[in-house]
Amino acid sequence: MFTRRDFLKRSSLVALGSSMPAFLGRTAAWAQNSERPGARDTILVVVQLTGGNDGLNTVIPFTDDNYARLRPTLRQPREQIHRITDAIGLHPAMNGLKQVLDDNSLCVVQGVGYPNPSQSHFRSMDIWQAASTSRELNEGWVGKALRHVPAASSFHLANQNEAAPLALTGSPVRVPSITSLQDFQLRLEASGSADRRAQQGIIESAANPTSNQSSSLLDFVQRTAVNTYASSRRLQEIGRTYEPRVPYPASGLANHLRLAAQLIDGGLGARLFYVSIDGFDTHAGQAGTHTNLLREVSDAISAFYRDLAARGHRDRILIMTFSEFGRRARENGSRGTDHGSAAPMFLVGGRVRTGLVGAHPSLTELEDGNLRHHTDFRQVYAAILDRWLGVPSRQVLGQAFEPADVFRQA
Amino acid sequence: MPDTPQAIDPRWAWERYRPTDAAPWDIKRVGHLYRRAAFGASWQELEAALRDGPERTIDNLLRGRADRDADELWTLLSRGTSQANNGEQLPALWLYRMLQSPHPLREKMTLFWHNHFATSNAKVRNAGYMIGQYELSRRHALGSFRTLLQEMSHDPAMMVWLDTTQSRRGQPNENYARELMELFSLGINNIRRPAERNYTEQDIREAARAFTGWSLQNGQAVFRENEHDDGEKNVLGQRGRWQSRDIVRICLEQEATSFFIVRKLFRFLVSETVPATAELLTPLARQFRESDYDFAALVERVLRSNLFFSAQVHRTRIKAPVDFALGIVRGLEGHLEDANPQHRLGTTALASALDGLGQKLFYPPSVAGWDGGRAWLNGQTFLLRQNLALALTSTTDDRFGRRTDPAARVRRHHRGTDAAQVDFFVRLFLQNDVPASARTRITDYMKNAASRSYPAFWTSEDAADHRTRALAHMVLCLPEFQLD
Amino acid sequence: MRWLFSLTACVILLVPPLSARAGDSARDPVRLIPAQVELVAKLNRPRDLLETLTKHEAVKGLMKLEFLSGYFDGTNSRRFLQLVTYLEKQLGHDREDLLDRLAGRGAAFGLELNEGKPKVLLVLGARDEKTLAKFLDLTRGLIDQELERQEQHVKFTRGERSGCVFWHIGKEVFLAQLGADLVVTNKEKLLHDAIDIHKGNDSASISKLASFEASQKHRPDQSLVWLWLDLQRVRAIPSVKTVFDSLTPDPQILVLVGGLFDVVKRSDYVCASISQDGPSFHARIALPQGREGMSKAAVMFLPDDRNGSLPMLQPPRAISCTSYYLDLGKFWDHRREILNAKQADNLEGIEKKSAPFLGGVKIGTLLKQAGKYHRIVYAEQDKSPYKIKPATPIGAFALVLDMRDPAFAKSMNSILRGAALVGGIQFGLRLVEEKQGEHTLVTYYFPEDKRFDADVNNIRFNFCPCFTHVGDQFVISSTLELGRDLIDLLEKENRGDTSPATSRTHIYAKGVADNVRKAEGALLTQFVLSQGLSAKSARQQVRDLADLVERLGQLQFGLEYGANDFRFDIRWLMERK
Repeated sequence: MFTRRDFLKRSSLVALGSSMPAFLGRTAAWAQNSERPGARDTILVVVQLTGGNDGLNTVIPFTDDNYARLRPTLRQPREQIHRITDAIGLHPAMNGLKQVLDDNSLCVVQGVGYPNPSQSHFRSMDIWQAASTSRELNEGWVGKALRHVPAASSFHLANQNEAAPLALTGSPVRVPSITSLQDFQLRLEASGSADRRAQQGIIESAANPTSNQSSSLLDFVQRTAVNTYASSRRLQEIGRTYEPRVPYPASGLANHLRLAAQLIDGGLGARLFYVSIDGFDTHAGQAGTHTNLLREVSDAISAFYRDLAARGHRDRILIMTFSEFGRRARENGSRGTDHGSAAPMFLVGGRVRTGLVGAHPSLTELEDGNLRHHTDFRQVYAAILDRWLGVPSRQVLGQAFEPADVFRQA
Repeated sequence: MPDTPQAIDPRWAWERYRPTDAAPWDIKRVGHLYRRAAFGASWQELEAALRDGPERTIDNLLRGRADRDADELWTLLSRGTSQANNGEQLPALWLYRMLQSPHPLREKMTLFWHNHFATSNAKVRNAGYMIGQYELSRRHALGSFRTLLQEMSHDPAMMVWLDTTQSRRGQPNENYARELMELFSLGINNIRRPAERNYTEQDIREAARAFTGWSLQNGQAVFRENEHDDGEKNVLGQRGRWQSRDIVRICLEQEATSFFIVRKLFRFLVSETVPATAELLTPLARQFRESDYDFAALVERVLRSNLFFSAQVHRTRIKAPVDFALGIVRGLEGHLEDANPQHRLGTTALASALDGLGQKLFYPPSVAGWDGGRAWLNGQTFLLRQNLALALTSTTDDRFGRRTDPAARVRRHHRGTDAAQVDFFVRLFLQNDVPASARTRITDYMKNAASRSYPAFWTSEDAADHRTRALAHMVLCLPEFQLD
Repeated sequence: MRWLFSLTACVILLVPPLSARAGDSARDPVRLIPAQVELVAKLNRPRDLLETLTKHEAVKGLMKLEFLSGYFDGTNSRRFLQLVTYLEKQLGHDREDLLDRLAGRGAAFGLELNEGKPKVLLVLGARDEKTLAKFLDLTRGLIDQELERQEQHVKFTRGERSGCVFWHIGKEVFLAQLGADLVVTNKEKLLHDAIDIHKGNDSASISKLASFEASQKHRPDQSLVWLWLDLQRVRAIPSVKTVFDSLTPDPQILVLVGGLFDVVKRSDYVCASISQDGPSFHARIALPQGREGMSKAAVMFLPDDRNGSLPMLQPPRAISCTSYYLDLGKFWDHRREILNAKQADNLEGIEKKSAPFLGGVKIGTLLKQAGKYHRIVYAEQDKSPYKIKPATPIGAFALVLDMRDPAFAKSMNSILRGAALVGGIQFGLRLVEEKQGEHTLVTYYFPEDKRFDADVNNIRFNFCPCFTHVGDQFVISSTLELGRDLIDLLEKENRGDTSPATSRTHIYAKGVADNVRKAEGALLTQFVLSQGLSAKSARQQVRDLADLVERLGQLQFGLEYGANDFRFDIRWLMERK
């Protein structure tokens, strides 16, 4: 639970910051944080793979004979696997991430999980999102992190009718769920362009202060209005003229990420994004579906990263993927896999330590038929919180976790 | 409205307001009263209040009207919601009551208490409990604060929210004791002597022991002797084998409590910008204490006061999302059956919109409630407010349809000409608090719009209605409308 | 440009033609659709469809409901009607007449599925060329005006090909009048092809495509609307192919839908159509492959004869009944072929282990004693034997199993009694042997004096499970009342009255209506909060809604495998007044 101390601290911050409210901008508090290590205006994009991604078929230990034994029908042909090292490689469909790997921007953290893993979708997803294994989970790690960077604006890139995830709960200001740039548009009911311009003109000009007013509150409202309309115009402009430096594939995830790219490039201070892609619960007939999904994820992330890198944001961006659990080592009788536990996480960005972090879990020493984890996912969160966002991980996670070694030395 | 930092005479501030030439009973004051003591007003209500004068209008607001049908409807709806344990329906449920209530001041003060004893269904997960807590607050919203505070300790929703049910002898849970002192009664710092603290950590620990032994059975609070720590406790300088009632009593005996509550009420009813100094609040705090925490009398004194109707506090709050949305709906008579022969405005979609604006009733972000004030407005929520205003006035939004159609209202109140319509909306929504330049620009828009081209299959009535709706929307987008 | 399409589509679809004579193929608007499209749909009788939509009893009933009629009174609907009025005035005919003149021969639609933006083609078969020409000009004018008002700086420009005039906006929209047909499309090549076909080059038309022609019998002219999809080409689309190829259903699922999978894989096309018969409707989805050529695994689960399913059981207050064919005995016999070795071993292991719990009966034996025909019935409860009322009322359901071997009854008897014995300890079930005629229902009651913490809402008082057998039918029911009703029905039924459909479901509107009435509380709150109705009005709405639902009659679903085709029928039998 959010302590009273935090509340009091925050209210004073709001009071300080309120003298210059920017649309998605910076306040005094944020400036304070900039001295802390790693707290530049870095950006984090969390990509949730919903359903339980089959890690064993995503990051593949292709030289291990057990792989072929455990996955008689689902194993990937060795010559098509994209090698990361001589023993571990990526699923053939992940051309995009292979490109990112070649660009020294892909970090694969292997064997990530948590003790006493739950195989329930809901419970395990809650654990990952709340970064806690307590019985009652009411707040999310991203939400709590936002309390420490209150000026950072964040967005939930939502699918149609998708509810806000637990991960974002607990933030001081509600994280907006957006589906397109339309959500940032001042809507008008106009009979034509001339009418629209007239209406917009009146609304925007009303936001300008008149000569003899001296109400600070009205001032505040007007400044908020001016900033809002200006940002809205800028975003509509971006929406119209944004030329991706790299073609985005035509998929749901790519559309969401392109929206994120537009917001980032708009220079509006957007720092945190959360997006999810569903469909990974492949109990039967996994081959085709999983291939399509991995391709979608890989191509979308790759296009997004390269687009932003080409615009000079390479070192500011970090994309993280996770899933609520991996899948069982052995495939089941329906050419699919059942719920498992440990799985890999991908980190994409200009400052990550390229390659593998941690060894691949053993395929012979299984726990209940599942791979054993060696890295607690909260260690990865700790690294991201401390070293990337400049937020004290101990306060967000509730206890100290040794941060995983996923970033290059500065 | 000038922001002059002059000192305010506390004696004058709380004396009864009587209309004078310098401070006449005009539409601005009527609007102000309805915005603060209710959720905005329709045209009839504004005109009637103007005729009735301040005394009678405030009397009516304080008393409300009895309405058996409304009460029966409430029973029906709330029972349905709690039986189905439909937590997501709670915001719409209360919004509906706020909109239709014959006693809006009571609902408004219940909202004040909801933000004070902020409890979220996200943890409680029991619609029945939340409704119970709402009804408790509402019963005493214009009653005794002492009773409210005493009963709130054993309200089921509160017990779940602050873990009172987990508090046992030997393992007292400090949550409730802490919030009771910090947020519900004393406050951390003394308002009269800011360097002083009102209580210590030790006080909290001792008080926590007094709250042990309570649990819930079948939705009622029950006391179990054998789980209660009945030893002697030393709380705020008083020793005794205190139980929960005693702790509440002790907190109420502190002068700090009266100031704390009064200051909160000041911010809610009077102003967010005028400094709530101890000096200014002293007369109210004293009255509050001496009346044994009669909250109704306190509210009445504030509403009838000079300061309340002064220029210094006029438009010195930012509208909360509820105020913003309901102000528009009431202004456009969406809540009146005779204005909408089919049916009045439903509140499910509105509740959802308010969630986007940051105020989901029954789901405050933390036990400290909603920050309010400037925190309501940022780029995202500002835009959402303007777009919500459009959705309500355009009649092309499926969620709201034609129930808040400005064109229909204008016809109802016989405003034919452009100038008459501009006057109508500016007076209805803003009580003329509009700079001349904005008014001119809007009037020019109406003139130019009439000569624009419209699609060939639109009738001239269509085109006129369209202009009227655009007019209403633009008025609602003026920055002044965000000020309460 | 989307609004542009909506405007155009609105303008086109608003016109209801007079009763259309079946268009002869030489003038059938479908002929103008080029062969490269994968999906074709046609509104044979737009006029009838519109009359249905406006005059059908069910629709009129719906419109009376306040909570829905609000949607149709919106500003957008009003503007739409104004547009219609405007067109009537400009073209000099009222809407019924206009509909016939502009689309009397039907409206056809073609869709080309690309990776990316789909390409469409719309053809209106008009009866009055002159009015069509005026309509086209008028529409162009309106659209040009709107584009100008939106300052889009584009308008319709004229083009020509093979002596045919067409109008286009860039490469986005193309409009042309070809004789008495109006063509609208968003792909230039489709327009060119349509023009060529119009000029006489029939070979490019879809109507000459082999698989399209072959589907003629599934696209009756008498239908209101039909649809044809080229499965062969759709299956070749890469992303579809990936999924399709790797899609092998679970063996367990195979037993239920194996036939369907097999047929879909082998069919060149699929057709769907909707026809009207008085107030009733019939929709059919057809595939041109059937039993012949089916794989062994799939055909195993279809009956050898025309007895697809046993007659339906409709007890009083029935909500639904499903009757289907499923030969579990065959499944057991062929278990080694259907399941893989490990699963089969597992199953046999389970059989051995469970035998003692099943009163010595082995699963395999049980499955073979069971028959091939099963029925599931779901009905509302009327009188409950309990005094305590559950918080959430649940209807009664029953499973009626066919018995190949009368020993099945004995086996089931011992199993169920055994289970109840175990349950009895937990729940304190009380066994009573009730009588219905000459049949005995072994019934279990929950005790009303015991509290049960896991079920605070008293859900268990929805049930008093019982079982019995009537001739060769074994009945397991969740309530005694339904058990009795089924005994009566089973005694009287003519078992030979089977249907060739292997799976059928009937839903009875009266049962659903009763459910609506029971849910009054929840619906009331919904109506009041979301629509702002008064309590009285909301109550009336619930009653009106329930009455409306009740008048809807029956909804019937049926699956049938012919020798050379497959049919899925949906029938809505509205009661004739």
